[in-house]
Amino acid sequence: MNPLEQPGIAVEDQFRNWSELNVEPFDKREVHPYTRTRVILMNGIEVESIMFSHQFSRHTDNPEIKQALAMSRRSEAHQQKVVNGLNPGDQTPLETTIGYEQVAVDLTAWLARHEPDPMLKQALDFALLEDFDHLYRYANLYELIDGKHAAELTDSLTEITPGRPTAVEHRHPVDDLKGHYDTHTVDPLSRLHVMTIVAGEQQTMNFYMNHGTDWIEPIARGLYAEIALIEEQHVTHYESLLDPLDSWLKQLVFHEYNEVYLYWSMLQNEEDRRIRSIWELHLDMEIGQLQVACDLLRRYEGVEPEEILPPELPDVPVTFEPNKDYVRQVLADQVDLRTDGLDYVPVQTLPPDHRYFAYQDTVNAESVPSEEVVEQNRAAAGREYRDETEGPHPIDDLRAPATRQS
Amino acid sequence: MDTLTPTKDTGAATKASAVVYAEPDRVVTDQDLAAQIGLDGVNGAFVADLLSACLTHERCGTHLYRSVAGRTANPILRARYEEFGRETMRHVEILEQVIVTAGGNPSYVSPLARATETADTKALEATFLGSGALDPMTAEMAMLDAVLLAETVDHANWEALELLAERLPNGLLRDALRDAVAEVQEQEDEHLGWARDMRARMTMLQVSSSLLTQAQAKGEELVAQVRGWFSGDSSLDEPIRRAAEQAPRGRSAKRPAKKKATSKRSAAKKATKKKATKKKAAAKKAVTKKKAAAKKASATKKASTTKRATKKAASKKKASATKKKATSKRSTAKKSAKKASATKKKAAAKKASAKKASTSRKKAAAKKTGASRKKAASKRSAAKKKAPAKRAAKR
Repeated sequence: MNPLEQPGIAVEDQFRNWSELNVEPFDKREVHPYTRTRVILMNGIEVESIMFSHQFSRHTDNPEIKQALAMSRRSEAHQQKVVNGLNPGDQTPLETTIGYEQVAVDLTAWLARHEPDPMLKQALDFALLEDFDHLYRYANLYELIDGKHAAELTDSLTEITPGRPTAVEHRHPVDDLKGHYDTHTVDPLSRLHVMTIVAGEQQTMNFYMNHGTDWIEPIARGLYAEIALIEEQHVTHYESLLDPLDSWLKQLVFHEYNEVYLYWSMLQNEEDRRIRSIWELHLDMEIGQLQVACDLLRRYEGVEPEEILPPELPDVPVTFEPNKDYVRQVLADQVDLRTDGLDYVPVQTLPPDHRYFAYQDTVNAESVPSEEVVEQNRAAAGREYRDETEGPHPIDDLRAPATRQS
Repeated sequence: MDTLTPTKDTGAATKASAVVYAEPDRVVTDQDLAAQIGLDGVNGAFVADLLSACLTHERCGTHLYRSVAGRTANPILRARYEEFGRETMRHVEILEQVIVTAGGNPSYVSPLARATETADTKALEATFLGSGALDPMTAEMAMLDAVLLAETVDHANWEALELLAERLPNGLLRDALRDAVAEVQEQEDEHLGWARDMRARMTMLQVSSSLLTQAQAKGEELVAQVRGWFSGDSSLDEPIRRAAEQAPRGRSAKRPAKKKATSKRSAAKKATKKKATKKKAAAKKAVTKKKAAAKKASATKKASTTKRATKKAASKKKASATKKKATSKRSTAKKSAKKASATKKKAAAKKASAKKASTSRKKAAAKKTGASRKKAASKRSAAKKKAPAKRAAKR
């Protein structure tokens, strides 16, 4: 499908009334876990498009561009209300959080499996193990506070077990920055992958930044603060992969194109007919917004959109599906990796005076919430919470009870 | 079709660095580039990087001309932008062919090309991201500035390519590059010369014209007038015409067309020698002129002091004469004022009598209308009294 050849819906016809925006939420007991993850991802994608548009608008006083941005942005804001409105009120922030981490695991793993560039694949694999561990920590908090099992939410489609322990994920800010792809040589799919993961991680960061104070329990507040900072690291890590050579208008076109690709992807896999119709409507809207962005690019930069966009959408839609074997393999191969400047290196190769250890000593100086939550749950339930469907943990010293931090 | 934006589909390749990654099959090294160019005594990798940067600049130039041609409100500028855009597109084609002849990849984007594209992208963005604050004439100037910047670099690029062609050993690349320079350089002279001339003209036109002050209030009107300036319309204002004539012309307007590169270089050397001798002579002349000017200045000072004194006396005489005239004028004015007041009084008296007459007429009319109103009211009250009786009868 080539979005440039589709009619879409004109932006000026995209606004909806309050009752259309105030959608009926899904039933948290009946929703498919991957419908929940699709809703979480697309909410993050819309938030990124809105914030990008605001940033762009702050860098220009060209009335035509500002007005076009304002029009599309308002429509994106409508879309965000509809998508996020699908989350039900009886789904607690912690339950939503477990959904966020299931997104992080299965989206990152899927992107890594389909990523043609080995450097970008490495970047995805590296952070995958960290998000995988967050799911395990939050699952223990869920059992500790609510007495419930996270597997009821994930439907055991994603394993819950330690990844690279959260306590060792904290690194010096400089070591989160990576080299970027080259905008001319990059595979169109790679560009879309990076834009998608940046938006997803940014939404996770924002969610934890704002929901960390929803709890009275100090252990919950501490765990949200700790993991929110890892998500900040992940946004720094992933956004550094983007080539800054692209102009503002090219970036706008790529944003809209990625949204088209993702709504088209969600449409291919959605089983819920009502939500499927939302993906379909939003796909047509995004095509309309893409046309506006392409017109601006043509008019102001003299660039035909066909010069920078592929002739068709990628064949393979972004798909939420189990990635258990893949995650286990990455875990076995890379759990001991750390970053040293732009490189990924085994922790054993870092010199004792490396800034990584200095930063670790600073933030982990007293108790570490991500370790404490497992210890408290172990004390309360007589064991830590895990959902290992494919056998024992691939790393010996991460088998229950986990005995190592680093 | 020529490539304006290299992508993976067009075979783009790049040189990896600590910060820029690419898929392994897209990465080229200095050794690869040197082997592609395959020239003895020349840094082949740098030649490849330079050609890539020059090609990138032509590609960005094509985008720039498309953009400004679509946005200028001036048909004369638009025609030029479109013409230069077509020529720049041809330069893309020529450089791609040169690179292919050299055994290189026209979709290779060198680090120098990335730097070029960064600068060119920002220069183009500067013409529209901040254009909301600009009146139409200033917006035109901003676009022209971007063209001038681009053409300045472009001109320097082709001069570098000309030197490179001379430095290369005999072979296909040297021939291809010489042919390219021969075809393109005159056009580049024209592009740069035109941009400099037009910028100077537009600047001086605004300096001389009070029209600019109206620009904010009457933008469209101004554009129409500006169109007239460039079209050589006979309705040009005289001061504007004079300013246009006085505006400095660009280098290329004076410079004759180039011939062969070798003769050019020797001619250039001679020219520089001549220039040096001319400079010395000019410096001597300037000294003597200064002395003469100083003498003249002292003489003129004296003369001016005497002139001033005579002028003062004359002006005093004039002032007294004008004073006398003024007093006589005032007395005549007083007389005429007296006459005017008398006529005014008479007119006022007439008006007063007319007013009296009208008020008496009005009073009479009011009496009549009052009587008629009273009659109408009495009729209405009688009808009201009868109404209930009528309704009862109907029931």
